[in-house]
Amino acid sequence: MKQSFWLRLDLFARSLFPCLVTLGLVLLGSAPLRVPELSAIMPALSLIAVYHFTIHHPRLLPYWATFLIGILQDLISGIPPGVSVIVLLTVQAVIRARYRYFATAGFSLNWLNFLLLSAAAFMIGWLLTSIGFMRVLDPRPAVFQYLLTGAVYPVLAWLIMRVRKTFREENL
Amino acid sequence: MRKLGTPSTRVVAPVKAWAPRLGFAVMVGAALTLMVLDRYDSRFTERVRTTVMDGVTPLLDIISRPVDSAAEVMAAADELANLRSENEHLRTQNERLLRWQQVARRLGAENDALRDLTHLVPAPGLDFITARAVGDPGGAYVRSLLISAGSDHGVAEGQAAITGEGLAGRVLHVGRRSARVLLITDINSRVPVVAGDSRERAVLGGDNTKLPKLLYLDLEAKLHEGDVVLTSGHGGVLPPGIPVGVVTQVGEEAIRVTPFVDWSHTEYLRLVDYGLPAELREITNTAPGGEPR
Repeated sequence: MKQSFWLRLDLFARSLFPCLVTLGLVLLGSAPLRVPELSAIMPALSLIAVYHFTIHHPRLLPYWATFLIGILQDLISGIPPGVSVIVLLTVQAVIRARYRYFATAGFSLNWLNFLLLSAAAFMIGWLLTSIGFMRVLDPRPAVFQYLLTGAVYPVLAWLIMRVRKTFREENL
Repeated sequence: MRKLGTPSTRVVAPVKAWAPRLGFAVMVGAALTLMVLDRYDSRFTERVRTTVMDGVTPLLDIISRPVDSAAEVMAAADELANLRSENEHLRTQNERLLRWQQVARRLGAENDALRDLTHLVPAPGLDFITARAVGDPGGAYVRSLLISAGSDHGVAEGQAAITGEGLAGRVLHVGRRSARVLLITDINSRVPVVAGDSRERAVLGGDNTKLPKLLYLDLEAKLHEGDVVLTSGHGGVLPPGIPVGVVTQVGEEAIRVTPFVDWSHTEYLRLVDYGLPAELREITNTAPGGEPR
């Protein structure tokens, strides 16, 4: 009995991994870099995390968790609350709709998929923020942010997998 | 792995297929509702926002410490490398400043004498609150900083946030232990200013670029590159006379200002409490131009 309790606790802790990592990345993305040019084009780390976890651990990142993560990001960053929520949920919904395709695709193909999907995500984000602020925003910083996010994707995705693997090996 | 085709899944399958879609629709609906709510009556989202800010600020404070240490080490290395030229630069600057000191002393004495003559009522005294900037949420659309001081420390909406060099922004949202400072470069920032020797009134409006624009400037106004821009104090929220920046581009379509603030050194901000009565502050904050949206 005792064994199963600890086992369950362990499993519970593991099941929190995607949510915690994504939350951590939201906070990390908000840390002051003291480099004003960089903070404007800071890569959207949470977008990468949501994309990655929805493909690799779809059950561990339910819609409501994404909702809370998105809200947190909006409230911290000061854009109209709801924008990141819709962006992240849309990405998640697209992956779930074509789950088999994404889950069987290799690393580089999924990178390409990410580039396509995040382009749409940034466009939605730009549109919604413009509506929220009631003015047409300059999309250029968002384009740079998009490019940087695409460049960071393989590194971050590899890191997340690495950490995940370490945890799994410890279990054996 | 998934097992498909067992009898139980065949029965439950349609329900299972629709449940996630429903979840998605509900969540997106909730997000849209929030967006609309925030637009037309921001009291609820404001409360949630400040609560979240209060909760997140201690975490950001921890995260930002190593970042600051690293930045300090880099700065120290940079200083060492440029010691000689820096020394030279400081020497000439010191000479220049000594001359300015003399000018300032003379003007101060003259000012006192003239004040005595005219029986001028002095401006309300200023109180300062120093706060650490713990968060730079960044993103492509917002220029703001999160600071680790809130209403518990005397921070209030509309206060000016300054660095040693000049105006950085003003307080937008206030939690109990945290606050958000909207920088003067943000697209929603509007600061009443005066520019040049002729003290032309204008509004400094950010557009998310490094160089904010002067808006609502008199058509007759003649401004030149190098003219200094100060806060005007109009609207009563910001104290008058805080240095803001220098006019650097005088073009057909816009006159742009380079802020004095060195954005890479905004670890600490000083908030200026102008000592306005709370009722007046409320009025000025809801006046057009006072509300940044």
